[in-house]
Amino acid sequence: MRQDSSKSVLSLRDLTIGYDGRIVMENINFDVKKGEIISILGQSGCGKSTLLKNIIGLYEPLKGSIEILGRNLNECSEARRRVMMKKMGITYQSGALLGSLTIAENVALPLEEHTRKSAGEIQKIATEKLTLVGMEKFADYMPSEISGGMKKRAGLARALALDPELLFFDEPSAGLDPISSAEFDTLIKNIRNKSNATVVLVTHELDSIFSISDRVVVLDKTIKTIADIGNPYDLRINSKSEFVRRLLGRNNLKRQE
Amino acid sequence: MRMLKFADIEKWHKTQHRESYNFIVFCGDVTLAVIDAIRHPFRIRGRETLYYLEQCGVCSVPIVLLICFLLGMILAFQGALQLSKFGTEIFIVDLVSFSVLKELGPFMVAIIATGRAGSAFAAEIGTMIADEEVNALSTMGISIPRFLVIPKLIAMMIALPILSAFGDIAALLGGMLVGNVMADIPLGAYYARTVNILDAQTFLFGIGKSVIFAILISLIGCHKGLQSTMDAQGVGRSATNAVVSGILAVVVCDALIAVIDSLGG
Ligand SMILES: Nc1ncnc2c1ncn2[C@@H]1O[C@H](COP(=O)(O)OP(=O)(O)OP(=O)(O)O)[C@@H](O)[C@H]1O
Ligand SMILES: [Mg+2]
Repeated sequence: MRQDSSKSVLSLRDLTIGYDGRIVMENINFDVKKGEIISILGQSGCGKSTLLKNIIGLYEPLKGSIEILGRNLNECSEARRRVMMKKMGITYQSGALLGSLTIAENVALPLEEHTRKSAGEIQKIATEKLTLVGMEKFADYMPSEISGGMKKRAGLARALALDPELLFFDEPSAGLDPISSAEFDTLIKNIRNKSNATVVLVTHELDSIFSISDRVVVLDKTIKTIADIGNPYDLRINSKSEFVRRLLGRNNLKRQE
Repeated sequence: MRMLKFADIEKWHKTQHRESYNFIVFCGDVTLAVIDAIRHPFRIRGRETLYYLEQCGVCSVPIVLLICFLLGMILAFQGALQLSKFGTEIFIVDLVSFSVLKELGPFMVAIIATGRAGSAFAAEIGTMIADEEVNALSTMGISIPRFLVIPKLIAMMIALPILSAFGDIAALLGGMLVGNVMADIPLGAYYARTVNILDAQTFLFGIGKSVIFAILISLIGCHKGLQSTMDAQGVGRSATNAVVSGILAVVVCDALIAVIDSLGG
């Protein structure tokens, strides 16, 4: 399970996560290599979002360490944290756009905060990113005036504004229709292919896992830890865990019945 | 009815303790953001500040004028009832002028602002928490106090003193009307006595207090908002809490200032 950590952009070591001392998941160890798309899968309420929030530094782990690009977010200074955050793009389940700014201003915000570019340049980059996600027509709309799926795409444009090395998604396809969800998956894959960014993806959708993930981390609520890690097609057949084989083979089982 | 157990009190005490601790940490963060804003004034979010200035300032003018005018009338009315027993109606002017400028003007404006601005700040930030906007800001490496608190704080620190001045004038006019109609004090005499007994210090004392109230109301509003839980009820609760705690803080602070003032004077 452990790899050479010098090559990995994200590495979790003996991690225990939870709230107020209540353990949600423990003994989490895995590495993510540069340019990889890795999905996190598990039952509802098993702690996927919690894990993601620990990784991006919103919560502090109960035990163990998380290294992103060779640094531990919880141990570095505020200034260093700001620098680290510039290298990470995060999209939230609801889009999490700021309601008081237009779509274009939302995308421009990280650029205004973290770069010294001129207003013209910032606007150019914002338009570019919005075009990438197919939202350029809605640049001047307010977040309350666009649909849920559009919010997610605008959120992605904002996450891409600073050309991050690492991209995090919390359930990008939740609440989207199957077509939009497949489009979103293709978008993620294209972005990875173009910029060689590393992508960490929390999802419920088996389709996304099989279509875009290089590897999948399966969490199991009953044993409170990782059930298995590996290529989804491989795990579906060869996983040592009965739970993982059943979960990943769910599509097929349904059809056979 | 269930009896209040010792454990409940202990639990309540502990939550209160943690709340105060959180609030102190929050105030520290805001102080750092204020220092940062003074050092880099161009990084203050101007458009937001203007927006809140309009929301908390301009839009509150009618209600402040109305309430303070009525308050001045009520004061003068009660004063007239009592003072006419001694034939000293002219002292209505003293009663109204001093109580309005030193206490009631800034106080009423602070109460109105708590209801309007404090609750709005808490609800706004609470909604942002529920929509994960605050998380998004934090993971974009943007300082929450600088981004969310400073514009509101600046707007309130500008708006409340100006509103208090408006409120003062409205209340004095209300008092003048009742003094003239009920106690037959000629308008000229009322005006002359007002100008005679009031000085800049009295006025500035009240205005200074309103700046302190502005800081209290915005800090409490923002803090309650940031403590909101991620649901609609949480947002409602935090707005209510902001008003209750805001009014309490304003009253306690006002009382403290009155005590300190009386010791000093
Ligand atoms: N803010 C919180 N405080 C305390 N416990 C929490 C909090 N958020 C989540 N939990 C608990 O942590 C556990 C994991 O929750 P989490 O949101 O990480 O699940 P999830 O895997 O993302 O589920 P879903 O697929 O439904 O989004 C749950 O048992 C939940 O009750
Ligand atoms: Mg989740």
